Amino acid sequence: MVAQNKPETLAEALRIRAAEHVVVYAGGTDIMVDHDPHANFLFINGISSLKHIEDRGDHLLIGAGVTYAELLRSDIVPELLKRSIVEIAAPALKNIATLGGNICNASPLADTPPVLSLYDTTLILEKTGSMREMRMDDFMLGLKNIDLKQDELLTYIKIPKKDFTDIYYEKIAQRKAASISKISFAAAATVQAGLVRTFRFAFGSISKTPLRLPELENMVEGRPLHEVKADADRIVALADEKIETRDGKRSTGAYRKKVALRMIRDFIGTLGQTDS
Amino acid sequence: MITFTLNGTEVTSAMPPASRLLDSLREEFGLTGTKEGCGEGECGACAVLIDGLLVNACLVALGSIAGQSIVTIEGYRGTERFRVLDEAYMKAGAVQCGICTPGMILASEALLSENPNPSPEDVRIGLAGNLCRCTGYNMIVKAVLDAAREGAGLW
Repeated sequence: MVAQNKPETLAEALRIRAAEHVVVYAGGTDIMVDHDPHANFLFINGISSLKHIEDRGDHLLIGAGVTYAELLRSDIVPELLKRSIVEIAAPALKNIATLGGNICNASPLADTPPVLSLYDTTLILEKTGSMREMRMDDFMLGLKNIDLKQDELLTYIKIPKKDFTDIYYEKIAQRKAASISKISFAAAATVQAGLVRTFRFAFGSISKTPLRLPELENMVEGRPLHEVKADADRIVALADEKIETRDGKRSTGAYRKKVALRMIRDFIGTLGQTDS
Repeated sequence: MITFTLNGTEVTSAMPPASRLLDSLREEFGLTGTKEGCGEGECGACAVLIDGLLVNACLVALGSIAGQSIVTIEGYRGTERFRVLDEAYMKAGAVQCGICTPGMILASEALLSENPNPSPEDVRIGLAGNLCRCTGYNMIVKAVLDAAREGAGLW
């Protein structure tokens, strides 16, 4: 008989994780779609220590079991992350689906990882007696493929605070709410005294993990805002060279390429509105 | 064996922990007011309240709710809030075939308990995960707004 496996403490969860071959169950909203009634789940939704959102000075520490609804209700969660969550799903899913689950599921179509990537998010991975920290971009390897060992759990998501003055989020999907993205675009910049100090964006649903273009970030950062705006054609042309899109189940590669380039251009157009 | 509270009574399920809560409710406990529509969290016909939060029972493994409290439409129907919603749905013509209705009612309850004075847009967002093939939604939105007015002070 399969054990119940709904521990109340992280220590007990880590013990079970190491001792048995289990499938980790956080919110269950993805894993239950193709549910296997005989799966040996480790339910981590009863662990209260994984449900906190804490301000740690230079970063936010978000428990892997925090739900979308809890993130949206928080006053300290970055607005850009909230924008990626608002349209992610209906209330009944937001009430149980977790940020940790969205990361560990590692779907190329996931909506929060592009935002988390912009924030240089790192992850805390724990096993009994030790922990390690790694960049989310290195942890996610492709659909359901993550750098998590058999005895480890993702416990906390660490989001560094940023001084972004400009944020931008756009998601294109079949319908307005609760739909899977054809393409998502998260962008942020810091514009101060007429200078674009930081400039970054990430696409979801284009490649197997969030797509960032460091060459393009380098091309823009440190330059005067008016010069960046005047150079929009060249920036978009470089993005055109760098972005590869393929035909997918929900849209064609040509469509996604066109939309991607327009989003970059639009983001550049909106830059600096709060700079005085 | 999974023990949880079902409509106010402590119950124990003999189904495996990975079974769907939806199947346990319908087959083990005979609570067929919780409907199966899509089976993948898109339609809301199987919505129930878990510790007061709206959740689709097709996406919930039984083992995950051990020790928690579940309210289905059968448990909710004895409340004054239900009576107000029931009447508002009837008057507005918000029920046709009825398959979506138990989920719609519980989604309405979840919405009103968070926001007792919703705008029409708030109602549409609150019910975004509940699909209806019959009404075209306008009557349902009207019913929820009417219930909020008629039942002022209940939520």
